[in-house]
Amino acid sequence: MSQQQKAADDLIAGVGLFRYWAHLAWHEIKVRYRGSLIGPFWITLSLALMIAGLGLLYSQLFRQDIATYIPFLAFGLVLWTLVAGTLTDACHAFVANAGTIKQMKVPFSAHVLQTVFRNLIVLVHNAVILAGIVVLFDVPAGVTSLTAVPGFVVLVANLAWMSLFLAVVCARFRDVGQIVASLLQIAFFLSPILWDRSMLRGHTWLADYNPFYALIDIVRAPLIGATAAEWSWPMALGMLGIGAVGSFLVFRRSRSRIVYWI
Amino acid sequence: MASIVFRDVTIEFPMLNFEHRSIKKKVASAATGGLIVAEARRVPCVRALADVDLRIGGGDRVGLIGPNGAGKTTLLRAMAGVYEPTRGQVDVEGRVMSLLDIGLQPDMTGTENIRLRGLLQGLGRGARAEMADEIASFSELGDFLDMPVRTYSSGMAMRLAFALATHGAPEILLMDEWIMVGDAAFPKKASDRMRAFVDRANVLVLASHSEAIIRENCNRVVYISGGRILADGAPDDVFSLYGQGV
Repeated sequence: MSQQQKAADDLIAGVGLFRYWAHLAWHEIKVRYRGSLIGPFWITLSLALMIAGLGLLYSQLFRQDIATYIPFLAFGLVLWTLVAGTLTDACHAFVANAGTIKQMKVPFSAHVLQTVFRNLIVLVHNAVILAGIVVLFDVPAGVTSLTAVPGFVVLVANLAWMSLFLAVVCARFRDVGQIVASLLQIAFFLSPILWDRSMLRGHTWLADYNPFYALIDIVRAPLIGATAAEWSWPMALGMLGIGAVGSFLVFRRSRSRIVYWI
Repeated sequence: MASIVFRDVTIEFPMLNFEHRSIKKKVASAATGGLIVAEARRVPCVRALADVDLRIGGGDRVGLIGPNGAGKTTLLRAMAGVYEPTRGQVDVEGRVMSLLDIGLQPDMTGTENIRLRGLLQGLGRGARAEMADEIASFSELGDFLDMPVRTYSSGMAMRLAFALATHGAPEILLMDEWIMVGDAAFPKKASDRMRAFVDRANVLVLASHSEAIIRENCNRVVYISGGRILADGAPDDVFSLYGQGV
Protein backbone atom coordinates (compact mmCIF):
# COMPACT_ATOMS: atom_id res chain seq x y z
CA MET A 1 0.00 0.00 0.00
CA SER A 2 1.36 3.40 -0.95
CA GLN A 3 2.06 6.12 1.60
CA GLN A 4 -0.62 8.19 -0.12
CA GLN A 5 -3.20 5.46 0.39
CA LYS A 6 -2.16 4.91 4.00
CA ALA A 7 -2.40 8.62 4.78
CA ALA A 8 -5.83 8.87 3.14
CA ASP A 9 -7.02 5.75 4.99
CA ASP A 10 -5.83 7.27 8.26
CA LEU A 11 -7.92 10.39 7.66
CA ILE A 12 -11.02 8.44 6.65
CA ALA A 13 -10.73 6.04 9.59
CA GLY A 14 -10.12 9.00 11.91
CA VAL A 15 -13.33 10.72 10.84
CA GLY A 16 -15.20 7.41 11.21
CA LEU A 17 -14.13 7.15 14.85
CA PHE A 18 -16.25 10.18 15.68
CA ARG A 19 -17.72 8.65 18.81
CA TYR A 20 -14.31 7.60 20.11
CA TRP A 21 -12.67 11.01 19.97
CA ALA A 22 -15.84 12.83 20.99
CA HIS A 23 -15.93 10.64 24.11
CA LEU A 24 -12.28 11.45 24.86
CA ALA A 25 -12.80 15.16 24.26
CA TRP A 26 -15.77 15.28 26.64
CA HIS A 27 -13.80 13.35 29.17
CA GLU A 28 -10.90 15.80 28.99
CA ILE A 29 -13.26 18.70 29.65
CA LYS A 30 -14.78 16.85 32.59
CA VAL A 31 -11.40 16.02 34.10
CA ARG A 32 -10.13 19.56 33.75
CA TYR A 33 -13.04 20.91 35.78
CA ARG A 34 -13.70 17.98 38.07
CA GLY A 35 -14.85 19.14 41.47
CA SER A 36 -15.44 22.69 40.36
CA LEU A 37 -18.92 24.05 40.85
CA ILE A 38 -19.60 25.60 37.44
CA GLY A 39 -17.10 23.55 35.44
CA PRO A 40 -16.16 24.83 32.00
CA PHE A 41 -18.34 27.87 32.61
CA TRP A 42 -15.34 29.30 34.46
CA ILE A 43 -13.84 30.04 31.04
CA THR A 44 -17.15 31.54 30.00
CA LEU A 45 -17.31 33.67 33.12
CA SER A 46 -13.79 35.01 32.75
CA LEU A 47 -14.37 35.69 29.08
CA ALA A 48 -17.61 37.53 29.95
CA LEU A 49 -15.74 39.70 32.47
CA MET A 50 -13.03 40.36 29.91
CA ILE A 51 -15.63 41.42 27.35
CA ALA A 52 -17.32 43.73 29.84
CA GLY A 53 -14.04 45.28 30.98
CA LEU A 54 -12.39 45.63 27.59
CA GLY A 55 -15.69 46.68 26.05
CA LEU A 56 -16.04 49.63 28.41
CA LEU A 57 -12.39 50.64 28.13
CA TYR A 58 -11.88 50.33 24.39
CA SER A 59 -15.22 51.81 23.41
CA GLN A 60 -13.98 54.92 25.22
CA LEU A 61 -10.45 54.77 23.83
CA PHE A 62 -11.63 54.25 20.27
CA ARG A 63 -14.65 56.54 20.73
CA GLN A 64 -17.06 53.83 19.66
CA ASP A 65 -20.74 53.40 20.40
CA ILE A 66 -20.81 50.81 23.16
CA ALA A 67 -23.93 49.14 21.74
CA THR A 68 -22.15 48.23 18.52
CA TYR A 69 -18.65 47.82 19.95
CA ILE A 70 -19.49 45.21 22.61
CA PRO A 71 -21.18 42.73 20.23
CA PHE A 72 -18.26 43.19 17.81
CA LEU A 73 -15.74 42.54 20.58
CA ALA A 74 -17.68 39.62 22.07
CA PHE A 75 -18.03 37.69 18.80
CA GLY A 76 -14.40 38.42 17.95
CA LEU A 77 -13.07 37.28 21.32
CA VAL A 78 -15.16 34.11 21.45
CA LEU A 79 -14.04 33.13 17.95
CA TRP A 80 -10.44 34.04 18.71
CA THR A 81 -10.58 31.81 21.82
CA LEU A 82 -11.57 28.95 19.50
CA VAL A 83 -8.80 29.70 17.01
CA ALA A 84 -6.00 30.24 19.53
CA GLY A 85 -7.12 27.39 21.80
CA THR A 86 -7.30 24.89 18.94
CA LEU A 87 -3.94 25.84 17.45
CA THR A 88 -2.18 25.83 20.83
CA ASP A 89 -3.63 22.43 21.75
CA ALA A 90 -2.90 21.01 18.31
CA CYS A 91 0.81 21.33 19.03
CA HIS A 92 0.40 18.67 21.73
CA ALA A 93 -2.11 16.46 19.94
CA PHE A 94 0.33 13.58 19.31
CA VAL A 95 2.72 14.15 22.18
CA ALA A 96 -0.11 14.15 24.73
CA ASN A 97 -1.49 10.89 23.32
CA ALA A 98 1.89 9.17 23.10
CA GLY A 99 0.75 6.43 25.48
CA THR A 100 -2.14 5.40 23.25
CA ILE A 101 -0.18 5.81 20.03
CA LYS A 102 2.61 3.49 21.21
CA GLN A 103 0.23 0.85 22.52
CA MET A 104 -2.21 0.35 19.69
CA LYS A 105 -2.98 1.37 16.19
CA VAL A 106 -5.35 4.33 16.31
CA PRO A 107 -5.56 6.65 13.29
CA PHE A 108 -3.38 9.71 13.91
CA SER A 109 -6.10 11.97 12.60
CA ALA A 110 -8.38 10.87 15.46
CA HIS A 111 -6.08 12.62 17.95
CA VAL A 112 -6.18 15.80 15.90
CA LEU A 113 -9.96 15.71 15.59
CA GLN A 114 -10.20 15.14 19.34
CA THR A 115 -8.28 18.39 19.88
CA VAL A 116 -10.49 20.35 17.51
CA PHE A 117 -13.65 18.89 19.04
CA ARG A 118 -12.56 19.68 22.59
CA ASN A 119 -12.19 23.32 21.63
CA LEU A 120 -15.58 23.28 19.95
CA ILE A 121 -17.09 22.09 23.24
CA VAL A 122 -15.51 25.10 24.95
CA LEU A 123 -16.92 27.31 22.20
CA VAL A 124 -20.44 26.04 22.88
CA HIS A 125 -20.08 27.05 26.52
CA ASN A 126 -18.84 30.47 25.52
CA ALA A 127 -21.67 30.91 23.04
CA VAL A 128 -23.90 31.53 26.06
CA ILE A 129 -22.29 34.98 26.31
CA LEU A 130 -23.06 35.67 22.68
CA ALA A 131 -26.71 34.69 23.09
CA GLY A 132 -26.93 37.07 26.06
CA ILE A 133 -25.32 39.89 24.12
CA VAL A 134 -27.55 39.42 21.07
CA VAL A 135 -30.60 39.85 23.31
CA LEU A 136 -29.15 42.61 25.49
CA PHE A 137 -27.91 44.82 22.67
CA ASP A 138 -30.64 43.91 20.22
CA VAL A 139 -28.11 42.86 17.59
CA PRO A 140 -29.75 42.98 14.16
CA ALA A 141 -30.33 39.57 12.60
CA GLY A 142 -31.76 38.65 9.23
CA VAL A 143 -31.57 36.13 6.46
CA THR A 144 -27.99 37.22 5.70
CA SER A 145 -27.00 36.15 9.22
CA LEU A 146 -27.33 32.58 7.97
CA THR A 147 -24.12 32.96 5.94
CA ALA A 148 -22.38 32.61 9.30
CA VAL A 149 -23.16 28.88 9.13
CA PRO A 150 -21.06 28.10 6.03
CA GLY A 151 -18.58 30.64 7.39
CA PHE A 152 -18.24 28.63 10.57
CA VAL A 153 -17.82 25.39 8.63
CA VAL A 154 -15.01 26.96 6.60
CA LEU A 155 -13.39 28.32 9.78
CA VAL A 156 -13.44 24.90 11.47
CA ALA A 157 -12.20 23.16 8.31
CA ASN A 158 -9.28 25.58 8.21
CA LEU A 159 -8.56 24.92 11.88
CA ALA A 160 -8.60 21.19 11.14
CA TRP A 161 -5.86 21.31 8.50
CA MET A 162 -3.81 23.75 10.57
CA SER A 163 -4.12 21.40 13.54
CA LEU A 164 -3.01 18.38 11.54
CA PHE A 165 -0.04 20.33 10.24
CA LEU A 166 0.95 21.66 13.67
CA ALA A 167 0.51 18.29 15.36
CA VAL A 168 2.94 16.68 12.90
CA VAL A 169 5.48 19.50 12.92
CA CYS A 170 5.42 19.84 16.73
CA ALA A 171 5.98 16.11 17.15
CA ARG A 172 9.19 16.49 15.16
CA PHE A 173 10.32 19.92 16.38
CA ARG A 174 9.35 20.56 19.97
CA ASP A 175 10.27 24.26 19.77
CA VAL A 176 7.44 24.95 17.34
CA GLY A 177 4.82 24.74 20.10
CA GLN A 178 6.50 27.64 21.90
CA ILE A 179 6.81 29.62 18.68
CA VAL A 180 3.13 29.10 17.88
CA ALA A 181 2.09 30.25 21.36
CA SER A 182 4.10 33.49 21.00
CA LEU A 183 2.92 34.16 17.48
CA LEU A 184 -0.71 33.70 18.50
CA GLN A 185 -0.28 36.27 21.23
CA ILE A 186 1.06 38.78 18.72
CA ALA A 187 -1.58 37.80 16.18
CA PHE A 188 -4.30 38.60 18.72
CA PHE A 189 -3.24 42.24 18.88
CA LEU A 190 -2.58 42.50 15.16
CA SER A 191 -5.96 41.04 14.19
CA PRO A 192 -9.17 43.05 14.10
CA ILE A 193 -10.67 41.78 17.35
CA LEU A 194 -10.17 44.68 19.75
CA TRP A 195 -10.17 47.08 16.80
CA ASP A 196 -11.96 47.03 13.48
CA ARG A 197 -10.63 47.50 9.99
CA SER A 198 -12.60 50.74 9.64
CA MET A 199 -10.58 52.27 12.52
CA LEU A 200 -7.37 51.98 10.55
CA ARG A 201 -6.53 55.18 8.79
CA GLY A 202 -4.86 54.42 5.50
CA HIS A 203 -3.18 51.22 6.64
CA THR A 204 -6.03 48.82 5.92
CA TRP A 205 -3.51 46.30 4.58
CA LEU A 206 -2.95 45.37 8.23
CA ALA A 207 -6.37 43.75 8.16
CA ASP A 208 -6.55 42.85 4.49
CA TYR A 209 -3.50 40.60 4.49
CA ASN A 210 -4.31 38.99 7.82
CA PRO A 211 -5.54 35.41 7.31
CA PHE A 212 -7.08 35.33 10.78
CA TYR A 213 -9.16 38.36 9.87
CA ALA A 214 -10.70 36.55 6.91
CA LEU A 215 -11.52 33.50 9.04
CA ILE A 216 -13.14 35.50 11.83
CA ASP A 217 -14.81 37.98 9.52
CA ILE A 218 -16.84 35.38 7.59
CA VAL A 219 -18.46 34.24 10.84
CA ARG A 220 -18.58 37.45 12.83
CA ALA A 221 -19.76 39.95 10.23
CA PRO A 222 -23.11 38.29 9.40
CA LEU A 223 -23.85 37.75 13.09
CA ILE A 224 -23.41 41.40 14.09
CA GLY A 225 -25.42 42.74 11.18
CA ALA A 226 -22.44 43.66 9.01
CA THR A 227 -21.22 42.21 5.73
CA ALA A 228 -18.01 40.30 5.39
CA ALA A 229 -15.24 42.13 3.53
CA GLU A 230 -15.32 41.08 -0.11
CA TRP A 231 -11.96 39.31 -0.05
CA SER A 232 -12.66 37.44 3.22
CA TRP A 233 -14.50 34.55 1.59
CA PRO A 234 -12.06 34.02 -1.30
CA MET A 235 -9.16 34.22 1.13
CA ALA A 236 -10.69 31.74 3.59
CA LEU A 237 -11.55 29.29 0.82
CA GLY A 238 -8.17 29.70 -0.83
CA MET A 239 -6.43 28.97 2.47
CA LEU A 240 -8.61 25.93 2.92
CA GLY A 241 -7.74 24.56 -0.51
CA ILE A 242 -4.01 25.22 -0.36
CA GLY A 243 -3.73 24.34 3.32
CA ALA A 244 -5.62 21.08 3.04
CA VAL A 245 -3.41 19.89 0.18
CA GLY A 246 -0.23 21.13 1.86
CA SER A 247 -0.94 19.57 5.23
CA PHE A 248 -1.95 16.30 3.54
CA LEU A 249 1.43 16.23 1.77
CA VAL A 250 3.23 16.83 5.07
CA PHE A 251 1.14 14.14 6.73
CA ARG A 252 1.73 11.67 3.88
CA ARG A 253 5.46 12.16 4.20
CA SER A 254 5.60 11.96 8.01
CA ARG A 255 2.80 9.62 9.08
CA SER A 256 4.88 6.49 9.45
CA ARG A 257 7.58 8.38 11.40
CA ILE A 258 5.39 10.17 13.95
CA VAL A 259 5.42 7.28 16.39
CA TYR A 260 9.23 7.39 16.50
CA TRP A 261 9.25 11.10 17.26
CA ILE A 262 6.99 11.15 20.29
CA MET B 1 -5.88 -18.52 9.73
CA ALA B 2 -4.06 -15.91 11.78
CA SER B 3 -0.46 -15.25 10.80
CA ILE B 4 2.39 -12.82 11.25
CA VAL B 5 5.10 -12.62 8.60
CA PHE B 6 8.23 -10.46 8.85
CA ARG B 7 10.37 -10.16 5.75
CA ASP B 8 13.79 -8.58 6.20
CA VAL B 9 12.45 -6.11 8.71
CA THR B 10 14.71 -3.34 9.94
CA ILE B 11 13.51 -0.72 12.36
CA GLU B 12 15.61 2.31 13.18
CA PHE B 13 14.79 4.90 15.80
CA PRO B 14 15.82 8.46 15.09
CA MET B 15 17.51 9.81 18.22
CA LEU B 16 15.78 13.14 18.53
CA ASN B 17 17.35 14.42 21.69
CA PHE B 18 17.43 18.09 22.42
CA GLU B 19 20.60 18.58 20.40
CA HIS B 20 19.15 17.32 17.18
CA ARG B 21 15.49 18.03 17.55
CA SER B 22 15.99 21.78 17.84
CA ILE B 23 14.84 23.90 14.95
CA LYS B 24 17.63 26.33 15.82
CA LYS B 25 20.17 23.84 14.58
CA LYS B 26 18.26 23.36 11.34
CA VAL B 27 18.13 27.09 10.76
CA ALA B 28 21.76 27.61 11.73
CA SER B 29 22.71 24.77 9.46
CA ALA B 30 20.70 26.10 6.52
CA ALA B 31 21.95 29.66 6.99
CA THR B 32 25.56 28.61 6.89
CA GLY B 33 25.15 26.06 4.14
CA GLY B 34 25.83 23.28 6.59
CA LEU B 35 29.23 24.63 7.62
CA ILE B 36 28.12 25.05 11.19
CA VAL B 37 26.23 22.27 13.00
CA ALA B 38 26.53 20.08 9.97
CA GLU B 39 25.58 17.09 12.08
CA ALA B 40 22.03 18.43 12.35
CA ARG B 41 21.49 17.25 8.79
CA ARG B 42 21.59 13.63 9.73
CA VAL B 43 19.75 12.46 12.76
CA PRO B 44 21.60 9.58 14.43
CA CYS B 45 19.64 6.35 14.48
CA VAL B 46 19.55 3.33 16.71
CA ARG B 47 18.84 0.06 14.99
CA ALA B 48 16.27 -1.75 17.12
CA LEU B 49 15.59 -4.59 14.68
CA ALA B 50 18.00 -5.74 12.01
CA ASP B 51 16.89 -7.86 9.04
CA VAL B 52 14.38 -9.87 10.98
CA ASP B 53 12.71 -12.76 9.16
CA LEU B 54 9.97 -14.40 11.12
CA ARG B 55 6.94 -16.47 10.28
CA ILE B 56 4.33 -17.15 12.92
CA GLY B 57 1.23 -19.17 12.08
CA GLY B 58 -1.97 -20.39 13.71
CA GLY B 59 -1.50 -22.32 16.94
CA ASP B 60 1.92 -20.84 17.59
CA ARG B 61 2.44 -19.70 21.15
CA VAL B 62 5.64 -17.78 20.87
CA GLY B 63 7.76 -16.70 23.81
CA LEU B 64 10.17 -13.85 23.14
CA ILE B 65 13.30 -13.92 25.24
CA GLY B 66 16.44 -11.85 25.28
CA PRO B 67 18.29 -9.33 27.41
CA ASN B 68 16.96 -5.84 28.11
CA GLY B 69 17.11 -3.69 25.00
CA ALA B 70 17.21 -6.74 22.74
CA GLY B 71 14.24 -5.49 20.70
CA LYS B 72 11.45 -7.58 22.21
CA THR B 73 9.07 -4.68 22.74
CA THR B 74 9.96 -3.21 19.34
CA LEU B 75 9.13 -6.55 17.73
CA LEU B 76 5.78 -6.65 19.54
CA ARG B 77 4.99 -3.08 18.55
CA ALA B 78 5.81 -3.84 14.94
CA MET B 79 3.41 -6.81 15.12
CA ALA B 80 0.75 -4.53 16.61
CA GLY B 81 1.15 -2.17 13.63
CA VAL B 82 2.35 0.64 15.88
CA TYR B 83 5.82 0.77 14.35
CA GLU B 84 6.12 0.74 10.60
CA PRO B 85 9.41 -0.78 9.50
CA THR B 86 12.17 1.40 8.13
CA ARG B 87 12.90 -1.35 5.59
CA GLY B 88 11.26 -4.68 4.87
CA GLN B 89 7.69 -5.77 5.21
CA VAL B 90 5.36 -6.83 7.98
CA ASP B 91 2.18 -8.70 7.06
CA VAL B 92 -0.29 -9.49 9.80
CA GLU B 93 -3.50 -11.36 9.17
CA GLY B 94 -6.15 -11.62 11.81
CA ARG B 95 -7.55 -9.39 14.52
CA VAL B 96 -4.71 -8.20 16.72
CA MET B 97 -5.03 -7.17 20.34
CA SER B 98 -2.05 -5.90 22.22
CA LEU B 99 -1.28 -5.58 25.85
CA LEU B 100 2.06 -3.85 25.74
CA ASP B 101 1.40 -1.18 28.24
CA ILE B 102 -1.39 -0.71 30.71
CA GLY B 103 -3.18 1.31 28.01
CA LEU B 104 -5.92 2.69 30.24
CA GLN B 105 -6.98 6.30 30.67
CA PRO B 106 -6.11 6.90 34.34
CA ASP B 107 -8.70 9.62 34.94
CA MET B 108 -11.54 7.64 33.41
CA THR B 109 -13.51 5.15 35.45
CA GLY B 110 -13.30 1.48 34.60
CA THR B 111 -16.69 1.68 32.91
CA GLU B 112 -15.63 4.68 30.82
CA ASN B 113 -12.47 2.87 29.77
CA ILE B 114 -14.52 -0.11 28.63
CA ARG B 115 -16.83 2.17 26.68
CA LEU B 116 -13.89 3.96 25.08
CA ARG B 117 -12.35 0.69 23.91
CA GLY B 118 -15.71 -0.44 22.55
CA LEU B 119 -16.02 2.81 20.59
CA LEU B 120 -12.49 2.41 19.24
CA GLN B 121 -13.42 -1.04 18.00
CA GLY B 122 -16.50 0.43 16.35
CA LEU B 123 -18.95 -1.64 18.40
CA GLY B 124 -22.62 -0.72 18.48
CA ARG B 125 -24.59 -0.03 21.63
CA GLY B 126 -25.69 -3.62 22.16
CA ALA B 127 -22.21 -5.05 21.64
CA ARG B 128 -20.76 -2.49 24.04
CA ALA B 129 -23.25 -3.41 26.76
CA GLU B 130 -22.35 -7.06 26.29
CA MET B 131 -18.66 -6.18 26.44
CA ALA B 132 -19.17 -4.22 29.67
CA ASP B 133 -20.98 -7.15 31.31
CA GLU B 134 -18.43 -9.67 30.23
CA ILE B 135 -15.49 -7.58 31.39
CA ALA B 136 -17.17 -6.76 34.69
CA SER B 137 -17.63 -10.42 35.48
CA PHE B 138 -14.18 -11.47 34.32
CA SER B 139 -12.25 -8.69 36.06
CA GLU B 140 -14.28 -9.00 39.29
CA LEU B 141 -13.82 -5.29 39.90
CA GLY B 142 -17.38 -4.76 41.19
CA ASP B 143 -18.01 -1.22 42.42
CA PHE B 144 -14.47 -0.21 41.52
CA LEU B 145 -15.63 -0.01 37.90
CA ASP B 146 -17.21 3.32 38.79
CA MET B 147 -13.96 4.67 40.24
CA PRO B 148 -11.19 6.34 38.25
CA VAL B 149 -8.57 3.83 37.15
CA ARG B 150 -5.79 5.78 38.89
CA THR B 151 -7.30 4.70 42.23
CA TYR B 152 -6.83 1.02 41.34
CA SER B 153 -4.10 -1.19 42.71
CA SER B 154 -1.70 -2.39 40.02
CA GLY B 155 -3.30 -5.82 40.18
CA MET B 156 -6.76 -4.37 39.57
CA ALA B 157 -5.58 -2.21 36.67
CA MET B 158 -3.89 -5.28 35.19
CA ARG B 159 -7.08 -7.31 35.45
CA LEU B 160 -9.04 -4.66 33.60
CA ALA B 161 -6.36 -4.20 30.94
CA PHE B 162 -6.14 -7.95 30.42
CA ALA B 163 -9.91 -8.33 30.20
CA LEU B 164 -10.05 -5.52 27.62
CA ALA B 165 -7.23 -6.94 25.51
CA THR B 166 -8.70 -10.42 25.40
CA HIS B 167 -12.34 -9.44 24.93
CA GLY B 168 -14.00 -10.60 21.75
CA ALA B 169 -11.49 -13.38 21.15
CA PRO B 170 -8.68 -11.68 19.26
CA GLU B 171 -6.99 -13.99 16.80
CA ILE B 172 -3.60 -12.64 17.72
CA LEU B 173 -2.72 -11.59 21.25
CA LEU B 174 0.50 -9.69 21.92
CA MET B 175 1.68 -9.33 25.48
CA ASP B 176 4.60 -7.73 27.18
CA GLU B 177 5.95 -9.05 30.43
CA TRP B 178 4.20 -6.93 33.04
CA ILE B 179 0.88 -8.74 32.75
CA MET B 180 2.22 -11.60 34.82
CA VAL B 181 2.54 -9.55 37.97
CA GLY B 182 -0.54 -8.95 40.07
CA ASP B 183 -2.80 -10.68 42.50
CA ALA B 184 -2.12 -14.29 43.22
CA ALA B 185 -5.59 -15.44 42.20
CA PHE B 186 -5.61 -13.81 38.82
CA PRO B 187 -2.75 -15.41 36.93
CA LYS B 188 -4.51 -18.80 37.11
CA LYS B 189 -7.59 -17.23 35.54
CA ALA B 190 -5.44 -15.35 33.04
CA SER B 191 -3.57 -18.43 31.96
CA ASP B 192 -6.85 -20.35 31.67
CA ARG B 193 -8.17 -17.67 29.40
CA MET B 194 -4.95 -17.49 27.45
CA ARG B 195 -5.03 -21.24 26.95
CA ALA B 196 -8.59 -20.90 25.68
CA PHE B 197 -7.36 -18.62 22.88
CA VAL B 198 -4.55 -20.87 21.92
CA ASP B 199 -6.85 -23.87 21.88
CA ARG B 200 -8.89 -22.09 19.24
CA ALA B 201 -5.78 -22.07 17.04
CA ASN B 202 -5.02 -18.44 17.66
CA VAL B 203 -1.63 -16.82 17.97
CA LEU B 204 0.01 -15.69 21.16
CA VAL B 205 3.24 -13.74 21.32
CA LEU B 206 4.53 -13.14 24.80
CA ALA B 207 7.72 -11.36 25.84
CA SER B 208 9.02 -12.30 29.24
CA HIS B 209 12.14 -12.72 31.29
CA SER B 210 10.59 -15.59 33.19
CA GLU B 211 11.49 -19.03 31.89
CA ALA B 212 8.70 -20.56 33.96
CA ILE B 213 6.00 -18.36 32.43
CA ILE B 214 7.24 -19.03 28.91
CA ARG B 215 7.53 -22.76 29.44
CA GLU B 216 4.02 -22.81 30.84
CA ASN B 217 2.41 -20.82 28.02
CA CYS B 218 4.50 -21.25 24.92
CA ASN B 219 5.36 -24.00 22.47
CA ARG B 220 7.96 -22.01 20.57
CA VAL B 221 10.67 -19.65 21.75
CA VAL B 222 12.39 -16.87 19.82
CA TYR B 223 15.62 -15.59 21.31
CA ILE B 224 16.59 -12.13 20.19
CA SER B 225 19.53 -9.98 21.07
CA GLY B 226 20.79 -6.75 19.56
CA GLY B 227 17.77 -6.66 17.25
CA ARG B 228 18.62 -9.99 15.61
CA ILE B 229 17.02 -13.38 16.00
CA LEU B 230 19.69 -15.69 17.43
CA ALA B 231 17.57 -18.78 17.91
CA ASP B 232 14.05 -19.90 17.12
CA GLY B 233 12.62 -23.29 18.02
CA ALA B 234 11.27 -25.56 20.72
CA PRO B 235 11.51 -24.15 24.26
CA ASP B 236 14.00 -26.80 25.43
CA ASP B 237 16.41 -26.17 22.57
CA VAL B 238 16.32 -22.40 22.76
CA PHE B 239 16.56 -22.23 26.54
CA SER B 240 19.60 -24.44 26.53
CA LEU B 241 21.26 -22.09 24.03
CA TYR B 242 20.11 -19.09 26.03
CA GLY B 243 21.53 -20.64 29.20
CA GLN B 244 24.93 -20.95 27.50
CA GLY B 245 24.73 -17.25 26.72
CA VAL B 246 24.92 -17.63 22.94
